[in-house]
Amino acid sequence: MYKLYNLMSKKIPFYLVTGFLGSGKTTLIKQFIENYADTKRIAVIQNEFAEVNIDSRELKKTGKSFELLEMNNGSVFCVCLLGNFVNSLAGFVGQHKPDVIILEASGLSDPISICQVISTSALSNLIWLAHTYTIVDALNFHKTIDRVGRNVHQIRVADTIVLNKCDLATNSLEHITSKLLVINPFAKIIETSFCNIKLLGEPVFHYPVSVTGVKNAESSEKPDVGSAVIKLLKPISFENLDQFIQKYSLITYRIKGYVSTTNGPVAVQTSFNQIEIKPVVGNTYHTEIVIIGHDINQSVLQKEFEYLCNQI
Amino acid sequence: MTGKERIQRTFKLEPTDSTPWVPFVGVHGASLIGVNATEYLHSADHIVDGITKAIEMYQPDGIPVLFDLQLEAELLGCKLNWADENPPAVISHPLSEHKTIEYLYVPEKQDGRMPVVLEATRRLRAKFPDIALYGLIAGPFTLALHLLGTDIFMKLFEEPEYVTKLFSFCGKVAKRMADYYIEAGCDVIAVVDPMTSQIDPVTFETFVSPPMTEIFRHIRDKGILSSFFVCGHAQQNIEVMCGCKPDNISIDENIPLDYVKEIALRHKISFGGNLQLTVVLLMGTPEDAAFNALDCIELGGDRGFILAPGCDLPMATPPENLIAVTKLAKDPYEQQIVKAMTRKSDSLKLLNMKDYGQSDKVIVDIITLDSESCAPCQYMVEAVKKIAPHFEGIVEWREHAIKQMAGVTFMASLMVKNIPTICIDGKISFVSQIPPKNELIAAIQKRINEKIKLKIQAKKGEFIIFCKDEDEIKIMKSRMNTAFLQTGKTVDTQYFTGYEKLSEYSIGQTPTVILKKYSIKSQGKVPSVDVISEWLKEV
Repeated sequence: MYKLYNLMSKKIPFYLVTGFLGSGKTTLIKQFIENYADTKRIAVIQNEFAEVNIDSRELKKTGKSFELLEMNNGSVFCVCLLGNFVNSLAGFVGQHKPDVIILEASGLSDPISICQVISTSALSNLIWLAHTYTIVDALNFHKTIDRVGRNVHQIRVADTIVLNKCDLATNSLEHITSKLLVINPFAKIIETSFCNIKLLGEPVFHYPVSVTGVKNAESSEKPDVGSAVIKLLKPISFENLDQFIQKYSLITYRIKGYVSTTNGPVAVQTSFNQIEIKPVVGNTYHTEIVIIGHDINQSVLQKEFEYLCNQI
Repeated sequence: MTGKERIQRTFKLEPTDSTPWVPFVGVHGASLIGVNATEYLHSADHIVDGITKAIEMYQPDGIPVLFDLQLEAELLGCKLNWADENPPAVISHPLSEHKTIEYLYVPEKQDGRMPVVLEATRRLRAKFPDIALYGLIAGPFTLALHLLGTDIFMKLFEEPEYVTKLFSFCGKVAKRMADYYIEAGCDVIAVVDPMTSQIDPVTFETFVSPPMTEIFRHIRDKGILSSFFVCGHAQQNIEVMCGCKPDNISIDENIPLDYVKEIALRHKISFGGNLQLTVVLLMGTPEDAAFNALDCIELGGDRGFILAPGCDLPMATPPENLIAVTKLAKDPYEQQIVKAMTRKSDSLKLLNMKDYGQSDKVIVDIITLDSESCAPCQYMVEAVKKIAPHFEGIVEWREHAIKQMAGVTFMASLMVKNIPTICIDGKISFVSQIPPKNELIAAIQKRINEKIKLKIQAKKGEFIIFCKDEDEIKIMKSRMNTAFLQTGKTVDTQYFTGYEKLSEYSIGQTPTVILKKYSIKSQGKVPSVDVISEWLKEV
């Protein structure tokens, strides 16, 4: 069952580009700009530690027109800095009214905290989380994956994993992708170099599934959708999780994330009413779910999920 | 028990009279006195004024002098990017600019902003002897990141000896800073190392544990309490953090409090946290803040737990949210109220109150915790009871105790937020404070006058309800009573079963509800036959 969308866009799609330090995030964003800046008003938010934002210089070399918000007051990795992020972004969106927003999150940032704040603050009336790209450095993967927990977290939240620098990788790519799939069984993995996914025939901008249910990444349709993030520390029984997913998979476009259940952690993905739930190994301490759909109410969803957690 | 005593006892896992509360007031102090963050962090006067104001408003048991993890970095040559609404950010890294570790030296008391910070500490110590003062220092990993930049993550793998040397230096800086704060009068030294949340336990034990353990040993040898603050997803490292032997660990909302409690208490270490900083304290309501605080207190328990935010309070955190936390932390009665109010989240069936208050009488509802066990509630009920006879026949009063679910439902339906509250015909009229007699009488009289003005001519009526059996009567009564409650009206109702009665009214099936309405057709004079005939046509 599909709904007709209101073709007049009300909310701006927000793309999160995350990944560890030096993995190629800026390179991917350059491609967005090079391929779409002529037809869409693109806004890029960059968050870095440096005195001079070297990455922003790289983006400006494209010669294309786009709006840039640089947040150099430290990495938005700590929840104590997210309030400032909300104010800066709200002001920026109000001023420039972009068609698309891309956040290049610092390599140390917590992507789910960013998504949660977007879904619960005044920003939720302006933007919605369309897609998360995580760039993985194939060359240095083996150095960081077991040592840096944030790296694993960034992989877990990805819709698309761009496995970059494949030309330089010394370890087997199969080994890397199988490890990635253990962490995130549902993400699409693209192997490339220089983050050049366009060359592989992949659409650079991934618009979500359209009203007909057919993927149309180049579609000009902009659905009026919202996103919500449920983040909880309590586990839920598998039966109650199933109840929640069954109910909301029918009336949302997508649910994805990780859930801490009383039987162990699981990865969840739904697309309209197609549901997949898979057990995952490794430490998954929290529930972190992103829900995308029409008329999404963050508070109602969070409270209902919490209620079900309490019914063990 | 003073605040300081409460903190000290909690650190030692001894019982206290209430859960200690430590708001992490950094640049939030600037907002309380109307200056920006940059001005605040450069002035001892501003810091003292800001913390003084915070202490007046939030009545903490302990409070940090400052929350600025960039202080040491600046002293060691990092450039900072200053902002009006945040602590500064480090934007240059001396060790990535071809400088060596040997180039760095441990800061002196008179370097950089140290005189400002230490003067503020001394003055606050003298002004507030009964509150535990926290001196916050940057932990070795976070300081190392400031000095080297993000290259440190690769160097962990590629140049471990270099990293070890760097962390050792950062450990020395931390110990010296601890000495300065202790000398100035701090009761607790908190080592704040958020960057440790980025790494796994093995890397933590290899690189962080040695200098960190040494820091905490140094503080302990001085007879001072220590705390290990971390924020972010650090759950994987709680065990190894405890292995460094601090007296306390403090975490943020990304780690379950009960998880930390179990591990910390096993190590005989106290623990603190983890009010949600952004979604609740910054962007939520006082009610949200109270619920979150209650949740934390219930999880933390009554031994070894300190209530605190997860991290430095954002500058714009609404004071009323923090005041709500204070009220909850200090007042067990308030905890009971909030606990009862949390039940409304589980009950989604609110009453439809849109027609409430339309009856003949003026309904005075008193929402209480329980007037038998709660003194303010009892006085509120007494106040209404005393004046009700003054309006005999016109005013009806009812108590709704939220210890019962029906009371919670009623409270939520009328959108009452505080206990006790008096509502007059469904409108919130007096909150928390017991009104003086004349004010209460005036408020009720006002409503009576409004009703007369509206000329509510109550259509008198009576329900007659036919049911097949007692079970059906029970269901009908329940529905009828709910409707009476929602509208504030009570109408005489008779219930019948039995064939004879059904036949008398020619009732073919049950349940059947008949509403007999009475309305005044004439008053003051004898109506004519023609007028009476017209009335008969309506029947």
